[in-house]
Amino acid sequence: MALQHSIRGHPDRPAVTSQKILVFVLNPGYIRAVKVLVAEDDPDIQVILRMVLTRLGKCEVVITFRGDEVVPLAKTHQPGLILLDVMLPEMSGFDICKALKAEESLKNIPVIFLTARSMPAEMQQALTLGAAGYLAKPFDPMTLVAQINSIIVPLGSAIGA
Amino acid sequence: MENATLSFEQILNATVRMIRTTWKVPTCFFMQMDDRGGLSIRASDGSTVPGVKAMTFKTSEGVIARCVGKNVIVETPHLAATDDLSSLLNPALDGSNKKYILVPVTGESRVLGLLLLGPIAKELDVKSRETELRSAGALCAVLSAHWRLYDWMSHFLPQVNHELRTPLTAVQGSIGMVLGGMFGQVGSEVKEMLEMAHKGCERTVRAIEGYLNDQEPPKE
Repeated sequence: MALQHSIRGHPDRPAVTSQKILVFVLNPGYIRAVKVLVAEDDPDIQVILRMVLTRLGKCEVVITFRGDEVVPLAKTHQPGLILLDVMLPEMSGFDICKALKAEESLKNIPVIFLTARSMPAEMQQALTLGAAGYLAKPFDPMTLVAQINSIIVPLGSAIGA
Repeated sequence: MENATLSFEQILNATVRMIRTTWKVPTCFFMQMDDRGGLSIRASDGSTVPGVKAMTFKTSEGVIARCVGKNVIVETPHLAATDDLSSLLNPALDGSNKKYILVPVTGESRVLGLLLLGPIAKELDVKSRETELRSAGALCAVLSAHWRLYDWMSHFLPQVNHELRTPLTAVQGSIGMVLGGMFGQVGSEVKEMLEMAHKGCERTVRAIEGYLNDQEPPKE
């Protein structure tokens, strides 16, 4: 799938080119997210995400399949980035995002939705709730890190080497 | 999908308004029946009660049950407390020689809801105007059936989208990692086969998106 097609960043934010990402990554002023919290209930996708984020993203990965565990885990681990599925057991991704943004200590952590629910209304809802961006499944694992960076680099952080 | 639902609501409200104006009555409701027999107000015109659309009614007994159960038009000056409508409608009847009319709204094989209008003068001969009332009910029936279909589709399509995309993510993702060289180089024949599988996944995703956008899946 083409990169442009699956990245749904905030419409008010300017487009990020790969050149801009490189500048940000090389600039010592950005904050490197060393820990990523992933909420994903599909075990196969969990394996893929762990592999991609550790090998290509050079991150420590904390994964949960339950929605209600995200906020407590975020408080414990203080990740630099949270990847959220929408349909999760016990608590939906939208409710989790709302809860994260309501917590003073967690509200500045960038949240990216990574979900198979890609109807325009749902994407809009995610952005309204304060998510940094929206990535639609299926995603290309080899370009996932670049896609994530295209969303979080303008916010001053990045993953990868 | 959301826009379609909204336009059905507008059409149904306009229909109810038209019926109310034709019959020269202060109030007209269309109540749609769910699969468990509960009725909820889908369109209302003339009501001064706030939040009327959020009201739901049971059909277990009383005049509403008689109307939908026996598929007959019911005229009533009083509504039993069990119908839950009393608080809504009785104030308009107090001290006057008036009545409400309840018209069953039926589809091919089931009752879809109920049309309620009034209050009208007790002397009015409803029997002579039964065809007119049934036609108004039939109009609501068509709109109700379409609304239910769109309602169902707006839940069904995102669910199908999710159920198909999730396994595709695992298939396409793992193939993508192998092709991307994450586990070392693969032989040219293996690579060719994996590229074919990867392409198949991409075609499937494009087909799903095509169907969701009410378009033909793109030709290869």
